Amino acid sequence: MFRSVFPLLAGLALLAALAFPSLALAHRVNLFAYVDNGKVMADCFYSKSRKVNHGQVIVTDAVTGAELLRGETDENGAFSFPVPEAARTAGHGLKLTLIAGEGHQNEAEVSAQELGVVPAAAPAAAAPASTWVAPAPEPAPAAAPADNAALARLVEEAVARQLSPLKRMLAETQEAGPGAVEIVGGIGYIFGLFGVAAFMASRKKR
Amino acid sequence: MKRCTLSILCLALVLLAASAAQAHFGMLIPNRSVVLEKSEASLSLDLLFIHPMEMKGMDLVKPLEFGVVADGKKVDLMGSLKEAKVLGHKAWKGADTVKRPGVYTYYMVPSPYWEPAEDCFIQHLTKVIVPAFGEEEGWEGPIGLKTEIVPLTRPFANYAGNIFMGQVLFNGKPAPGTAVEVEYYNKAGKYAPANDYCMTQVVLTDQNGVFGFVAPWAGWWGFAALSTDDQKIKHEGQDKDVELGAVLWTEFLAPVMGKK
Repeated sequence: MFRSVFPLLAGLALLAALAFPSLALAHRVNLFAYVDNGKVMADCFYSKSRKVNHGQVIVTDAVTGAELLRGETDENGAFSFPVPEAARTAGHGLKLTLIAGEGHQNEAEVSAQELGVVPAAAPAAAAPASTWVAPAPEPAPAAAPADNAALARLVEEAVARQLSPLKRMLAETQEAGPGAVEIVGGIGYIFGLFGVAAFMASRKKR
Repeated sequence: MKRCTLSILCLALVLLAASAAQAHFGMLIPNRSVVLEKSEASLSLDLLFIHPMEMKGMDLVKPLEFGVVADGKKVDLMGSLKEAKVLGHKAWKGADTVKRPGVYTYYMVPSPYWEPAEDCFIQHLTKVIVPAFGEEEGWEGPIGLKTEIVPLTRPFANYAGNIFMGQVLFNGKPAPGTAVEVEYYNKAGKYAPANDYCMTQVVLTDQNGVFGFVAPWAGWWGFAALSTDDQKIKHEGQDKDVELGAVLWTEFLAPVMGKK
């Protein structure tokens, strides 16, 4: 009897063990990569309290796709490596792929700028395309514009400055006109006046 | 004579009722409700004090506090504040750059606002919660404001039609029977109230201070749980009540159709 049940139990246990990891499928696996002190740090996690234990990280050249190195996360979901020489000489960014088990995969890129293998690009001028009316920006220093992009930015700023009172006027005209409060109030007036009229009429009759 | 007084009273009541329909909301609205890519890491936040459904503004003087809490650590962001003009009134723009995965609770403590129409001060302690880079742990629990809404539903990445649950705390204790006013941020003027009552939706908290609400359409929705502060503020030599609001803003999203 015992002999015939044992394999069945063992089989069930094996099945349960196999089925259990699939419960984790509901979790997104995340890979966040950044550069700290000349090292590329990969943070691999399901959540703050559940890190990826011994997940595989494959590092490729973001431009050519060539594999540069691979490694494994520690118990805290961390994997780090120095900026690869190949990326430095090519001036390319990196693509990191995390394989944390069947169906658990994610990617992240670290740009060449972040790696510091190419000079950082000038941050693009933010164009606030909204209905908000910003106060007039401080006047820009009267230095000669370095290039066309800077010139375009200056023109954009100047136009925005000139347009802002117009936008404000437009916004104000949209606000005019009877709102719900005025309409209900108006109805109140009508009722009130009728009341006064009714009172007058009743007094005349007496 | 009696009838004359009555008709005037009637008129006054109608006028009063109409003006009482406006609900004030402290507002803290980031330019995006979640951060997924590094290119989205620079957040800009609007700090406002307005009637969000009607889009009528009031002046927001420089807040007493503006900052972010993540992992129990508080970071002061007052230095990022820049004055702005919204709906013809004073407002502020704040900024922060998210550097690591996490759940970031931005908060604002404004100066009490004197509202002559209600003969009281209004102070709305306002929060908005932004998750970044895949992390979604850390929205649970209070951050320690005098009154606040503690979300029971994850306060981001919800669809319009999901139920949103929260618990109102006052001095750290559940606040039963508290009115929670709910309003849509009608920034683009997309919606008009079906009638004046519809401007603000209202729900009361149960004996545990818990409320639920289903946003009927997508967009930013604000929850303002209103209590009377246990402290008074003097106005022209007289003690006046302070309406203390625990305000939480969250964006409900419209479903996205799959490519097929």
